[in-house]
Amino acid sequence: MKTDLSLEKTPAQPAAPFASIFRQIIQRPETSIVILLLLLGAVLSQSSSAFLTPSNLFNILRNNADIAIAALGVTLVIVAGGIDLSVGSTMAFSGLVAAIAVSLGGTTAYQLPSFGLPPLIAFALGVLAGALVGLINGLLVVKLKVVPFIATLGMLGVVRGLVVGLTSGQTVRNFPVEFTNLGQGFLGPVPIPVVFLVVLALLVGLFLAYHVWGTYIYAIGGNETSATLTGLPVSRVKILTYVLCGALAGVGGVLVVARLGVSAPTQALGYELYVIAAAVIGGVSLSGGRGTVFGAVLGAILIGVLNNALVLLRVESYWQQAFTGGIILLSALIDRLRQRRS
Amino acid sequence: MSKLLEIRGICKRFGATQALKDVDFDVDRGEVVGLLGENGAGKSTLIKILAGVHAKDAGEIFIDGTPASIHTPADAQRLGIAVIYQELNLTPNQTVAENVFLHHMQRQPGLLGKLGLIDRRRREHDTLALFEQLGIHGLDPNRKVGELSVAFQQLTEIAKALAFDARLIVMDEPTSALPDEEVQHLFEIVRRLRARGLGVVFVSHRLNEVRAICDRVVVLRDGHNAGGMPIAEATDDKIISLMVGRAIENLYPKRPAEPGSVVLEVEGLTRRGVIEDVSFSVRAGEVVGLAGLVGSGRTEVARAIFGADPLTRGTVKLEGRPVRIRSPQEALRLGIGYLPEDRKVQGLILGMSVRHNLALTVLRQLAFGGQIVDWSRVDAVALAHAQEVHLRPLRVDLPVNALSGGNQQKVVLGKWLAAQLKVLILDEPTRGIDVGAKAEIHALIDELAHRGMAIILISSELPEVLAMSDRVLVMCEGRLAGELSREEATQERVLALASGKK
Repeated sequence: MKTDLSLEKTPAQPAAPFASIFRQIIQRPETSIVILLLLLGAVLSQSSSAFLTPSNLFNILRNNADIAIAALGVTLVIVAGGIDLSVGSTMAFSGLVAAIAVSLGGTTAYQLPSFGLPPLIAFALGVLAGALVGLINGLLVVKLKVVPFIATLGMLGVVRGLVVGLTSGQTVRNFPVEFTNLGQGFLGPVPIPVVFLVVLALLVGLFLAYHVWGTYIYAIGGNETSATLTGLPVSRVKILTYVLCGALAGVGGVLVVARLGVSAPTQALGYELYVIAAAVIGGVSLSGGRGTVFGAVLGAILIGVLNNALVLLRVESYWQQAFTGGIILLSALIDRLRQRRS
Repeated sequence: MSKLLEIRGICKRFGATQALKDVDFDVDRGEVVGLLGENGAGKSTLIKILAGVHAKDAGEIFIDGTPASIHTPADAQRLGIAVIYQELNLTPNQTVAENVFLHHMQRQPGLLGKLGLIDRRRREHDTLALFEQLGIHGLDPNRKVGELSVAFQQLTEIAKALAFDARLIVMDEPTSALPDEEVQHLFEIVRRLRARGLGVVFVSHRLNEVRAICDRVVVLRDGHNAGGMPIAEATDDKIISLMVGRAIENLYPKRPAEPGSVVLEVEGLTRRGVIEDVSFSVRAGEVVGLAGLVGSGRTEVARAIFGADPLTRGTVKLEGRPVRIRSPQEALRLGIGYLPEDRKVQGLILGMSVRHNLALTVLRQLAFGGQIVDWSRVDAVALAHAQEVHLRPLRVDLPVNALSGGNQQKVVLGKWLAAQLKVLILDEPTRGIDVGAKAEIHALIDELAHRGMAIILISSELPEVLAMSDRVLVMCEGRLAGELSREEATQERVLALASGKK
């Protein structure tokens, strides 16, 4: 089959006038988050002098880079019409795999094996472990046709249980400094996890916008039946989104371990709430077919700034979850209003 | 005495589009009025204002001569207006009786009823009584609605309307999903309703049906009253020119085929319980019609060839070579395309732009190294194909859900045009499409055949199959009942084969 490419030049369409470009910007979900962020920032810089300092801002980014990176992956899955509830567990599992691989050993009462592998290899193993969890998710959804919500809910339990079981509830510590540097170090003034985030966000964003499979992902999430009957490789693309989601959750999970210098079985517990919230706040539609990586990253930053605000305003940390939940509802409301207007 | 329903000077605007402007419409007791117009002419808007889904901007509605205010669907029901939409409004997992009395449940007598307990036996009894009024006997009121045929689901909707004493029933394209003999049955029921003094509004694209059942027609065009007349005066030409605003020269532009070599050959195609031993071949440049009643296996044959459903048995040959097609993906690679019967659910990605939809089949060919999409090339190719199918407006940046039904179907057709196919299977390509776009799509089909594509045309509209096909295959109960040449194929012979008569 060939495509006729010897087409005559067709006249370009008239450029959109400025007003309509402006309206398009206003209607983008990302815009409302930016406005929300600026408002929050303005309020915070008034009430706390500590907020608007480069070190605090970079800290916010560093502490939330893992969630943002996992949100990149979950964005792929949700845009394709699926959902992954197992990201928190996957993060813990990947972190544990990397921790065991890189640990110099001899710290826990219950002796886990430790291999003292080079940090980058440990990192790769962690990511691979995440990708493996994603592959299982994908196969469950595509081949066994389990509803994504149930398949990944099951994997949430299985993978978390695996982490707790393997460690008997103990922590893994004693990492070489080259490894912890990945979470704690800087590249110039920029924290290394933030560098990871920027690079990965660009890669995933470009993938969605310019790779053939990126468009397939939007098409499948938009209408899977039509996509199938158009002859698109639906099964493979869907599995790929879960694998990438697992791998990106893996990156996030390893970064958490490197940043905290410890792998604990309860690590990233309940993170699926934050990760999915980041994507949804950023305008990724849970019904599929709509959303951007940029929005998801902004969503993660908004959650981070909010949590930071609670700390700076001396709200007890016990209240954080309630606020995050509130933000999800608020963003859903904004999304609803915007859709009604258009 | 004043009429049952009178509508005066209704206006409705959606954003920049004036959907209805000064529209008058009325229905009397015991009258069936055909509401006609192309897609986008304002029929659905008018219906939805009656149903309380949309609020009118201006104008008045009178029921029995008294001004009526309809703000919600509940208001409409209270006034005795029932609307039966094309996409039926039933809950498939509940029983017929539960659906019929969804809004007016029979309660137990006494205290139990006050607590909200339902009298099931009475509900079943009342349901049966309603169906008997419609002339239907022996329907099990405890069957789940989802298990019933579309025709019976429609009856359930009508019974539901009678359950709240509806006096005006609006039917939005009720026949579009019905096989021919069921259409006759529906007409029978409409006549019963008319005899009981109900008013009926009948929306349809099929002029012969309108003429068979309506007393009068009203035509809308671009949100205005274009005209109306008693049925005795309504000829096809008159109605079409009112609908389109001009005369359509030729609804079925078909040039005689110059068939080339055999492109597609299927033998013994079988899918257990669905299709049985279907064999035929299609030549290049030939349009082969696939006729038959709804449920006779036409769509299933198409889906099996296209790899959308698995085969139990049978072989498919493409240009003489045996091929195994296990997925639509493989079919596309081999040059076989399938335009599905429901464009919104199966053919389009509604939220995406025209550009994306047109380019999906060839995205890989338009990408650097088959990986990185060249969007400027996609734009050029999409625009070229949009021009080829006469898309209006000629813009590829619009989301497809902003287009009319006819233009949406042109996008699906354009998508397969882009893929440079050898075989194209069209399943109900003009269902629910207005006359103007229909003629354009017919012209496109003819053009594609002329360029050497092998085309299989599935349609429930017999005039379309007969006029557009070089040969007609007729299916009956999953088997091929016969083959007729263009000269032999008459409505009577096709129907006889389709209904299993020899």
